[in-house]
Amino acid sequence: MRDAAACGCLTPPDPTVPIVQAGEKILFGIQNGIVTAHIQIQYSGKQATDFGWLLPLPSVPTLELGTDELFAQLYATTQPKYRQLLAYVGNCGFAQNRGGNFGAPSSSGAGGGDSSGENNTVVIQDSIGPYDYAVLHADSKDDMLKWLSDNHYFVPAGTDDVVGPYIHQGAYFLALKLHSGETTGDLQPVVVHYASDLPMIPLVLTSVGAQPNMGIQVWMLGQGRAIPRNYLHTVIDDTLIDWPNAGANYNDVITKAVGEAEGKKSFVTEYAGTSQVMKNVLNAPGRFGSIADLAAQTTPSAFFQYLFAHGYAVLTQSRGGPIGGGGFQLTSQAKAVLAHYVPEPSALATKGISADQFYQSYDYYTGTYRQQNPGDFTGWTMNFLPDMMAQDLKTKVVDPTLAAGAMFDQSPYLTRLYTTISPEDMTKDPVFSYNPGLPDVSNVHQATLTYYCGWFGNSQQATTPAQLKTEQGFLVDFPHGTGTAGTYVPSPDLPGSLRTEILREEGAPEVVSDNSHRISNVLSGDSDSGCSTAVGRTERTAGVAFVMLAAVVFLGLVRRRKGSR
Amino acid sequence: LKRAVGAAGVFALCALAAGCGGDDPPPPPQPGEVVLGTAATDGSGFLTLADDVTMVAGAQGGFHVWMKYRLKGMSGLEVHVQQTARRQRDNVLVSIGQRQVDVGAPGADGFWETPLATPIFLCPTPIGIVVADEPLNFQVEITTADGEALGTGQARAVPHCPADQSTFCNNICRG
Repeated sequence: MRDAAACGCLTPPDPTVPIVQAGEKILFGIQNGIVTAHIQIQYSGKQATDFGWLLPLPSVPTLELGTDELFAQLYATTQPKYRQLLAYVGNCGFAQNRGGNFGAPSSSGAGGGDSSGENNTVVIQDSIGPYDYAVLHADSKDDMLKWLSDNHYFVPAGTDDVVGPYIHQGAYFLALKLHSGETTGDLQPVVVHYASDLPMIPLVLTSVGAQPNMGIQVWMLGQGRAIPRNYLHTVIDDTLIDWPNAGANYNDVITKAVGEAEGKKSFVTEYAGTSQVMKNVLNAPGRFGSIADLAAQTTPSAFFQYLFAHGYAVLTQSRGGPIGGGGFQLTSQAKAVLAHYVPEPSALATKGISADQFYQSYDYYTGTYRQQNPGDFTGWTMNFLPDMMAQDLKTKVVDPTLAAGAMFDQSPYLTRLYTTISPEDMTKDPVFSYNPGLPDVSNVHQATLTYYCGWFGNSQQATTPAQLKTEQGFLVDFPHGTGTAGTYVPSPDLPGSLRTEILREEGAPEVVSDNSHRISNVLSGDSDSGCSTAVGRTERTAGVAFVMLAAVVFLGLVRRRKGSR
Repeated sequence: LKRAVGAAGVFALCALAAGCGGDDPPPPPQPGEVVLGTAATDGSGFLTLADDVTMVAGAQGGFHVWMKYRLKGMSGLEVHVQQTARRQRDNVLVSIGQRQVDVGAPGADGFWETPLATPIFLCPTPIGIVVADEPLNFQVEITTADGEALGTGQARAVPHCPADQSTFCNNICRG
């Protein structure tokens, strides 16, 4: 199986090989009619020669290398986070440890052919970083497809049909593939600049190799909040969120919610607000030190230590914690450069010693360790060229990272949009625009689970009546407790979306459908899923709470009367 | 009768005052002059933007109308340009774009002309909004970096899909 994440179209060498595009991550910025698109490509095919990638463009683009750190940081910083607070009414014996909810440990909530192409089809043919690329005229489908075929960019069945809308006079295609000898792990993000007022994702073309419910993650920088211009907008029903488990079912909720929109074409805004959340994340003052100083290091160990001391290693967060078990790690681009000159011996990697460990403790591994394990270094060679290494790092790491960071300084507002969509629904290319009048959207969400333990106390958390108040204000009852299963099973009758609406380039949202009443009705209705953590009746807990409150008042009055006698 | 006479008197006074009744005062005179135009399908030339215009295939499968403009009285300035297109019949916004432009030296007629045509992005259209064959009001507003108005240009035209891509174009230009 191959996984890829980028916009455009993956073109495997064999049309019969099923290709699967798992997702797309793109950051768009627009300045003076020039769109800058940072595109993350993820592909897990076994051979570099299997990789090919196509992107239709309105004009001859300029191409630069990007950095995967951008997406790691951007993803973590703006990621939706669902936190559940716990509250206790009455004498809750289990409240002291304040750990459990739904019978499970509480979550922190941290969301956590290489032919030369001697014809008029080719505009540019060059290489950059690990890629060979070509910009092709797209005014003739036959010529373009022939060139791709001649150059081993085999086009999967179906592409012939979907490529049609992108073929016209003055149009271009960017074709990308890896150098021979590169590994698929070298898929560095690319940055494409092209003239256009509004960015678009060529989903119709993508449909050829996409997987069901493919995730599309878009960030838009600008002067105000970004909107999907020709797709609907969905606000999810937050009663479906698995609050006790930090929104672990988030992606399923998104799929259900956008699936309710007409044509299943809708985006969810996950974050809309200041871009300052990314300030100095990528381009902190002094980061990377000085290339001249780096090039002046005289030993490999000193060279590597300089890297670790000057921001070439980062702590990258993702859902569930730091990638790779935590700690500071060199970016994949930095490691790719180092591996070219001073590779980690394969025997060490086989033993589970990471490249970061090897470079960080280079003297140990090439000294004491090597003396004790000489066999691990059999055949190992290295070529320490600090000048060239420093220049390579500048080109592939420093410049792309600082340029990406500068985008957040130039544009004050950042919007994160997300959807999932299946190939059969990819019949329209989404275009993104702006409506600065729309309000901010926080990526941090909070609900409160309140346990009602009663006057006489309750030490069994699992069976204590409880009520969840979601951020949208809905009350979800657990009259028989939250159970011990540790899972949250909302009613299947609940809709996925709170609202589906149209966002225009000015004015307030136009509501297409509003499920508020339906959600309230389901929550207060007679339907009972029968699960221990089923959504129950809103009135039931309210009634219980009222009775308990009345009992407290009554007992208080009785005591006062007794005291006055 | 007295009430009617009184009301008529108030109306007359309002009319004389030319401000009562909610009429906006006329905009202050702007120092610059703006003339909108369009270009040939390849983006060249300066053509009048009026009547019928053929949309041009553009951004990644979209369609746009080329826009060019000529500015007078703004030479040497770095100006902010906001270009919009609204449907005439209901004033719905169908396109908006912004740019910073360095206005160069004027020609013999006093006008400086944008060297390159810029696209007014129309299709794919916003949801439910038909643009093809609809009269649109195009407007370009020129301001300084501080927001001071320098000039406004307007034109009305009806965009049409190119004949050779009519089916696809109409598919994405009709909401």
